[in-house]
Parts: sequence; structure tokens; C-alpha cells
Amino acid sequence: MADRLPPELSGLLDSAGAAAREAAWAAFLAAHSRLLLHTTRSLGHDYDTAMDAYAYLLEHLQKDDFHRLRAYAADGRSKFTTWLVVVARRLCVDFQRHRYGRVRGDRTGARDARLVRRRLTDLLAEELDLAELGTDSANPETDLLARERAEAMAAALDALGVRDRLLLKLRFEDDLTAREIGDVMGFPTPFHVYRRLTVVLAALRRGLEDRGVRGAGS
Amino acid sequence: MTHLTAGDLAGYLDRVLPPPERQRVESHLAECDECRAELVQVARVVRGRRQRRWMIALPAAAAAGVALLLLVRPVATPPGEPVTRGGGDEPGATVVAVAAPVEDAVVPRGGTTFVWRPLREEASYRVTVTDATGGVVWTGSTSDTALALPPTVSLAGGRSYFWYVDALLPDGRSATSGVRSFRTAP
Repeated sequence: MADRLPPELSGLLDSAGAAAREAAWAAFLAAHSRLLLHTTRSLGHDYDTAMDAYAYLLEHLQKDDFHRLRAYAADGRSKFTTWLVVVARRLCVDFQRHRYGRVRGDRTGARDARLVRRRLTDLLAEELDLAELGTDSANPETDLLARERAEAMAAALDALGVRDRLLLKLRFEDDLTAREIGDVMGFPTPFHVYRRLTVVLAALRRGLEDRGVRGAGS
Repeated sequence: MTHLTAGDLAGYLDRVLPPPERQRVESHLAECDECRAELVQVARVVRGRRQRRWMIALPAAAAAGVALLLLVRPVATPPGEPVTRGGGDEPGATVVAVAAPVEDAVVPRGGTTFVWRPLREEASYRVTVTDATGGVVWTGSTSDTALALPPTVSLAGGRSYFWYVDALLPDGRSATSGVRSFRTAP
């Protein structure tokens, strides 16, 4: 594994003695400080706060004989820089919580899964021309119909593969562009994303029709 | 719920996870809003960094390209044949060659017409225009090689926008122009 480590990382983890360690740390920062600063600033801090977050990040990367960086040596599946962005970002989020507490809109609190599903279901219903699905109404019959259709939608979603469910979440719930979805999920172009979405939505329509829901478009 | 590790997220984005691991990660991402949000944010940071590197490398690449054009006699591509990208991440992948608007052109706020070179007569094309944040402003499809921005789409003045053309070929392959930019007149 060690032979797959970037030289500035293996040099740091193998360094012995204070002087060698200091020199190795300087070499590590020379290689990655731009990436670390870029990650710090991506959280939208002002300059001073970003610098404080950067200092916190460096302190915690060094902590306990670089134990966080040693975790990459034990794993090492991905590119080091991608892994470092994840770890650095998590430390910046820790810094933010440490300084400001949990901010409103922080997703760390568990969200109501049913509410989430309802939202995705509503958005999909709109996409599939199921205008009545999920609408609130004082009419008990309409409520019952909407509930049945929502249950059918949930069942049709469950019948999809995990990759297709993830695609729908990213598109309809997280509102990502096709290009961003392509980046995240590994589609070669946005066109591949659109094409897969078309296939998945068609499968959903079929699933709804199989469950007796009409008016799901064609 | 046990959340994904840094190795899981980075491995997923780098496409290095073996299929069972990848499926485990996707299964978690499909259900966990927190990990999915983190994945998206990390992808944006990594992508933003790659784009910055491109922006730095672009002037040097342009200068090298000009030098090559002066040294090497250009070879014309037969009309109607796909243009093949060489030396990229996807060897042999076709690209859509765009004609207008040229890179960083200033176009009227009222609209513009996007023009590109045909790949094959049977190809269908989709044009997408995004704003600077990546939000899709407009998308349109055609089997022609030009598409005008409809008058109903209003672009803000003095802003940068990005556009690209995706083509679907009859044999199921696809091609893209890559992202191009233009500015609207103030």
C-alpha cells in the first residue's frame, strides 16, 4: 500500500525526529495547501473565518501523529486529493459547529423520511402528469385517491434499482443539473443522464399503470 | 445509521470501488440525505478545482495550438463525418464542433442562435444553456444544426452564460461539444 502513497504523504508518515517531521510537513503543505484553502473557502466563509478554519484544519491533520492522514494509508482506494477534500471538508464543518453550533438548514439532524419521500413523490407526480397526486383537499374521496396514488408511487419507486432511485433523488429532490449528476454518478455526458431519466420515468409510468393508476402520461 | 467513510465517498467519486462496494454506497446515498449532500459538495469542490486548473492551462494550450497550426498543415475532415477527439480521457469519442456563438462572444439580450457542425443526418441534438451557477436556463432539442433561443427566455444583461450541445447518434452513441461560454450585452 505504501508504494501507492503520494511521496509527500509517505515522506510525512515515515518521518522520524522533530526536524525531519517539520520538513516533511512543509513539503506536504507545499503540495496541498492550495487544495486545502480551496476546500476551506468552499464553505463560504469570509476571509478571516476561512483562515481560522484553515488553521483548525492543519492543527487537526497534525494531531496524534497525523492519525487522520494515516487513515488514508490504511484505505487508499481513491485518489489522495479526493480523499483529502472529504476529510478537510469534514474538519471545516466540525470547526463551523464548534464555533457557531449547528446552523439552521444543517442536514445533520435526521429528516423525516416520510416527508422526504412525499416530496420526491410529489415532484415525480408532477413530472408524470399526475396532477391530483399529493394535493391537499377537503374532499375525502380526493384524499383517498391521492393517498392510493402516493402508495402506488412509493411501491413503484421501491421496485427501481438503487442507482435509479439515487438518480431520481439527485434530480428531483436535490435539484442537481444533469451535468452535476453526471459528475457525481459517473455518466459520461449530461445527455446520458437525460436518457437514463427518460428510461426511469417510463419505468415508473409502467409501474403506476400496473398498479391501476391511470393518467400517468405516455 | 452508519454514514459513509471518507474512503467510501472519495472512492465513489473516483469510480474506483468494485461493483458490490459501489452498490452498497449507492444504496446508502439513495436513502441518506446527509451523505448525499456531502457527496455533492465534495464533487463541486473537486470539479471547481479541475476547472481552475483548466483556466490556468488554457492560455498555454491556446499558444501551443497556434504554434502547431503554424507548423502543421491542417487536414480537413470530410463533411458529415464525426470529429474525433484524440488524446482525451475517452479515446475515439466524438465531439460536436460548434460554430456560433464563438467562445466568450457578446450576444444581444434578446437572444441568439446556436449553430454547430453536423455529425450525421440522423443525429438528434439537445442544446442546454446554463447560468454561471450551473442552473439550467433553457434547453431545446432539434434534428437541425441550429437552434434559436426562444424570445420567451429572458437573459440578464451583462452576465456570463454557458452552453453545450449534446448529440445522440443513431447507433446509440452520444457526443458533446463541451461547455462554451458567452456574455450578454449590458
